[in-house]
Amino acid sequence: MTVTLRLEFRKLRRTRLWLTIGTLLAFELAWVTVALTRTFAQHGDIARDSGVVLGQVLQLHGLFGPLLVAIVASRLSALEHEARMVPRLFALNQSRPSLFRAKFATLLLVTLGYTAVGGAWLVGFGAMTGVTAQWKPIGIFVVGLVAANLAPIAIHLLLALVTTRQVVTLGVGILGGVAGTFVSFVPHAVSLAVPWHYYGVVNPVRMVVDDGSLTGFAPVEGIEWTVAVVAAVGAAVFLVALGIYERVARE
Amino acid sequence: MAPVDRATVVEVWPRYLPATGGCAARSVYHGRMSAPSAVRLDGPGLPGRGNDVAENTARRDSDAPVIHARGLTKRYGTQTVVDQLDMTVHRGRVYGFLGRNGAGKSTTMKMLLDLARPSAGKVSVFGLGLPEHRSRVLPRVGSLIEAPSYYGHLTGEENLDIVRVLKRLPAAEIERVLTLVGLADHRRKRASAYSQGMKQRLGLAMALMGSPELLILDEPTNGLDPAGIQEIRELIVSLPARFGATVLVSSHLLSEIEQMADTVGIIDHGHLRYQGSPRSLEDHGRLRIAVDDSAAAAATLREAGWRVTAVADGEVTLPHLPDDRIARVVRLLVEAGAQLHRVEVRRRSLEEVFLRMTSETPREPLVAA
Repeated sequence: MTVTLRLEFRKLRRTRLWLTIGTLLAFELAWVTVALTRTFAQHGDIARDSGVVLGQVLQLHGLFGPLLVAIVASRLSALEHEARMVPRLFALNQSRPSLFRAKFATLLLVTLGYTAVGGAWLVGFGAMTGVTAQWKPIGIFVVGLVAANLAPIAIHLLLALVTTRQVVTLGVGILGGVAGTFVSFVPHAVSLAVPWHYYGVVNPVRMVVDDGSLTGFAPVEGIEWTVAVVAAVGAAVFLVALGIYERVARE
Repeated sequence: MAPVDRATVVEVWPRYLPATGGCAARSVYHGRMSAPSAVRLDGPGLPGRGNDVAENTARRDSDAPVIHARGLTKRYGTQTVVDQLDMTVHRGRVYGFLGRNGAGKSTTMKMLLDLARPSAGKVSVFGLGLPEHRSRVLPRVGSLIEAPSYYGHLTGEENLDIVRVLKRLPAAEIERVLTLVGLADHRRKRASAYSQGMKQRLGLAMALMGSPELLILDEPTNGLDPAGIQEIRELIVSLPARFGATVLVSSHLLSEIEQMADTVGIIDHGHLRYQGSPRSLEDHGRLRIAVDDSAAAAATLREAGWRVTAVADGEVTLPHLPDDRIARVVRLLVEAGAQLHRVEVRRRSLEEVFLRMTSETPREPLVAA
């Protein structure tokens, strides 16, 4: 696994993927920073804690998360399709599940890196604007995002690997991103069935509104269980996608 | 590993031909070929890893078929692409897999590499069944299927490094294969900037990584210029002698297979129409005698007990005869007062034989002579 994972990163040498990811991250962080600045300006009495930051970030990440996953899955797979390397890799004794797992792990690491860089930026921004860092919700946020990424990664990777035309996975990513922004308007039980809603579902804080006005963000009770359920669903989706790929990849 | 000296290859390769006097005598169809009992290795070894003559001898002495396919069938929906194909490829041979485009060559090769699952039939490589033993079989196989595949944004060297890591080979292997296919000077160039011929060589280099015991090459000279074709052909022909490798090489060009292979399989519409020595495909020819009165000449010959197969206007045709008997026929006709204009042996070229074989679609395979 380590060998094939390393190979996946070697294949990304001299590709524009890193530039694309950097641009997407910069765009998301700029948006979040502007949104936070406006929130602090409009609601001067709001509690300046990590909850505010996480609340804003996860609302936006519901849009950016599926896009990121779709773009990276598409590039990782297009690389193989354009090179016509998939049959050669199989003939070189790399099994179909091994290729899928390596690409899945690459995507997971890329999204984790994205989260880490974004998180570091926000902690820094928070420190500059007087926000007290609360590490427990931040930890749940990071773990929650990893869990939330599992199912969309598996779905997008499967689509990208089995279809040569990447418009399919990118199209689904855009629709997923749009769906992700509507998570607040959908019942919790329904959201659990829509993988692109998971970025919102694992949100460790909820908005507190008093008399129509935002007063702060409160921790969500039992969020750890929700994260566990999302992780379990993600693992199941991964196994199903792996099985489908193994069948489909063999003509 | 030193680069191949082409002259040496040409010189050494024939010495590795089986001592039983060529393949023609052993040619039967559909793999029921009795394997050669001994392989003579009386040539000097070449320098380098692949020149361990003892190792090569050991590999070649074991005479079990390297590829053994029985009733191999592949259907896509209602279309049968490969139908009940039986194939046997023996160790140390260059097996030429010949067929028109779309005849089923690539699909067959994919099934031999577990890239496609047979709809029916069985395949074993090195005596190990596929797909159950794929992880034991594939590390011993090098392949080039259809168009060469490579990561265009990576250099030739980086592409080979990916293969090297997957095959768990030492770094020096890259240098060896780059030299072998003549790409050593272009190693740091991106593969996308390679010419078509260089891309084909890169594909071949990937297949040669780790000196595999079996090479499955699908139209390896596609896109090469005549000099490149010649070089690659010589390289392929040299592989059994240099590395003890067995080669299965496909082409739709008879002339190419003729120059490389010691065993030929002809596939048409998914059926293996012939398997055996290319020599057995050769037409022995017919004796044609142009005379002034063909009817009288035919009567004279028949009276004397000769078999006349055809009588046309001014021409009598007999089966192929040895030279001394041709002289007797000529003398007989001259003594009978016939005026002979021309005596010739006409043979169908291999091209004609191949075209004739693949223009029909009988269900039964042809038996090699």
